[in-house]
Amino acid sequence: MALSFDSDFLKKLEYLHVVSKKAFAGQARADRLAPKRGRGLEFADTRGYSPGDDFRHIDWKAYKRLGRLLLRLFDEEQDLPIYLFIDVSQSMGESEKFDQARRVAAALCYIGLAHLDRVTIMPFDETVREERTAGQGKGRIFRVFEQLEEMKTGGRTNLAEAFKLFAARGRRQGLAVIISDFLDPEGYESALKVLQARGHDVYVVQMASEADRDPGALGDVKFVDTETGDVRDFEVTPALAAAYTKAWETYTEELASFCGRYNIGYVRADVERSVEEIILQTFRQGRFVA
Amino acid sequence: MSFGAMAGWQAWGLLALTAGVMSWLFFLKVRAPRVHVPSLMLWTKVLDAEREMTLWERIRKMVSWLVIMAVGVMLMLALTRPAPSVVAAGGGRRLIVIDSSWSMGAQMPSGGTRWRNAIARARTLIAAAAGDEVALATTADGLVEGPTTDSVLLEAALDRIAPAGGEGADWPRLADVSVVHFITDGTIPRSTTGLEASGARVSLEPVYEAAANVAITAFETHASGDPAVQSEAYLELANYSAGAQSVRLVVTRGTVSVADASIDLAAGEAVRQIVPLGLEGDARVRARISARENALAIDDEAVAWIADAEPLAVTVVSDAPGFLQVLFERVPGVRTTFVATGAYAKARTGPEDVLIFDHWVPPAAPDKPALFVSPSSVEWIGQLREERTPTWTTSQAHPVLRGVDPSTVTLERARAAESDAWTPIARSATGTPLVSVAESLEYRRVMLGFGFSEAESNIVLQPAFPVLVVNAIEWLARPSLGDQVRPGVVGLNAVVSHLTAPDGRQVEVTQFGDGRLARIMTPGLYLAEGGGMRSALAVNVGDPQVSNVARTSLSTATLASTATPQSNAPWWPVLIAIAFVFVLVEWWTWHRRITV
Repeated sequence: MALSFDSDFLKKLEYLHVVSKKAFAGQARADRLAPKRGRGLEFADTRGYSPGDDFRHIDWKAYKRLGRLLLRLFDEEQDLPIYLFIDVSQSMGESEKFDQARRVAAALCYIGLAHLDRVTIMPFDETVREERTAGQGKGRIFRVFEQLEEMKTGGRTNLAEAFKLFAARGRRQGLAVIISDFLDPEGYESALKVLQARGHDVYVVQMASEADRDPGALGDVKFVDTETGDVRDFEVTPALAAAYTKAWETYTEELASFCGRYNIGYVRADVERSVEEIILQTFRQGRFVA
Repeated sequence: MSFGAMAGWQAWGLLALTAGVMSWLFFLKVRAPRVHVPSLMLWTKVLDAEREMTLWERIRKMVSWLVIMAVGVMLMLALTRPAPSVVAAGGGRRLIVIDSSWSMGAQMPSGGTRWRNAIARARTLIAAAAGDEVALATTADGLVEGPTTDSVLLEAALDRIAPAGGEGADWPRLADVSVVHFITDGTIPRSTTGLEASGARVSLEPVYEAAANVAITAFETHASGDPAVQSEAYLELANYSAGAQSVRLVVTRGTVSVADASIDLAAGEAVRQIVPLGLEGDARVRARISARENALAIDDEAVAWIADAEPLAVTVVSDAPGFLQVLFERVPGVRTTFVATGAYAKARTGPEDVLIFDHWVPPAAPDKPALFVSPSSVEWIGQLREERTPTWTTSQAHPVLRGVDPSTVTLERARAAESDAWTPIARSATGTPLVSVAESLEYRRVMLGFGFSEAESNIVLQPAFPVLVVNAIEWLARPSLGDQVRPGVVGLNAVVSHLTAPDGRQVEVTQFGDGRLARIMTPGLYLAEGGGMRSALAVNVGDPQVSNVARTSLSTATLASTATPQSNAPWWPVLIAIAFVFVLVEWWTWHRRITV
């Protein structure tokens, strides 16, 4: 799949920025407010002078008025670490679903790069595969496209194992965006809690396709699990098909409910919808981007 | 219900087997298609929640099963060729007799012919009698097929038979018959007493439907009293309709039209017409009629043959043909050639119809009809017997002697051959043959045991002379083949060996006693040959009883039994259609996911 966006869409993306509910310390100067005071342009506060402080920041007018040495403090503007977790397990192997996931990831990457955020693409299945840092600046987007295009699906989904492994690496806190279908027999709850416990601001993007929602086949069917290769015979009656659809909806609602309970951002990205619609409408409505 | 293709128990067995097989197929676990899904996680969750089939689901599955079974049963039922039971069950041998009178060929106002309805009725009866022995017969042909339980044989026989007359034929006989079905239109009344006397129950199956018809009920040619006309045709036309009709009549002689007229006939009216045929022309005369309402075609045409339309070629082999020469100069319609005995050669094949050998017999027998006058002695003709002043005392009724008064003839000397080949038809008091005839399929001969000179007899001075000679020539060249011959089994002159139909087809001629029989199916002019002669046989229906298809001899009660006729339409197309509809329903509901 060749990833590309038209110029109008890219222009619209440049006006957006990823919203983080927390302020994280970055590594380089950027245009995102950091939690610490620094050498920015915006005046933030004053404090008493301590030996060793840069006397260039002493507020002499205050000293004349108050007779005390006060130091002027400014806001620090740094970059935001964004970790884009893309599910590359076999359950995402359906080409439309995986393509949509990569388009969403590319769009989010572009938003981050346009605002000099530090975007790291992290493909995962039952472990985190080779992570790739996109760098800073929107000029790096083509490199991101290439990286996304090179991704292949395979392996089983194990969110918990993958995120534990990520957490063990001691990465800087930042925004963790997880793009996955969340079809993990081991569950997603512990995995998301791990990320949140490490101080990351977590966002969930659930990919869903028609094949996930509707079994499609009726009658005697031999279903094959694409991840495990397990085979089970089913006599799919209309009632059973309806029960499955209902089960999937319940599963999705439970995921959304869990995210709401733990202050995790949740967005559903259906394959049938265009990526423009998902980014410009759904993500904005979900206060994921602004 | 009965089955035309097999016995009842076989059909029911087949249907039960089919129902079983279809049920087995319905519940059989077929090889399921493999469908790849992202994860079985949710499926497992759904399946783990134990789920009971709802009543509605059970009903849908049951309906689907019944539909599948019905499809199989319908298809198999179609193969068994079912039909409604039209006769009371009871078994036993059955005889189906189809009235093959010509009236059965009548077109009915509702379409089709009576014959077609009769065949359809017979098929229904055959189908209804599956398992019982059935014999098929017609009034003309007698027993045609069976008795057999093989309906295929009976069906094939039904395809073979056709209307063939047989109005006066005996009922077909078959032993141990329990039921006789007589399919008839009742136009030709037939008593079923003979059938009932045998103990069989007779069931009349009427196929009558009133129809309007016009017909030629009589047609013949004869010499006219008017010498300027020579011959004329006599014909009768009848209108068997409820209303008046304009009938067009066309009479042709050969290819020449001699009459073309439109005749208005009132309802039930019959008219007689005399049509002059002229002095000369073809021997074949044909009359044809046409009208708006005309149910029967076979009686619309009639043919006749004018025997003396063409002159007879007679060759006289004689060294002194004086009296014969004088005679033949005065006999019309005879072209005579005189040949001296020394100039006659056996090998010659002239155009003559009759040879006359006067006081001389060729060494080898001639291959043409011949008249021998006072024959000479040769080996092949037989032992000669002579008698002086014989007295003509006995004569048989024979066409050669018709109109000959023996009392006027005085004989001085007689000389005739005697052998097994000759049949004397006139003898002297002492038994000497005076006039003998001989006929077979190869030859036809007349022998006069006396000559025409004064030393032998006085016959040339008597009226018997021309009568006897012309009679002999006519009998030799133009033997009577019978008048008013109708289609059916026709008795022919014993000399006829070949009979050729108007379309050139050879009609089989069989020996029956002293005569010969031929089965003539269609009217027309038939060419009869044999014994060196050629003649034509005119075959016409010409029967008011056959042509009057507007009436029937069947009782009102019998006809009322068909007022609500059972449909003769076969059931199997309906069954196929129902099966097709069921398949469509099943297909539709499956795709609508109503039944899976």
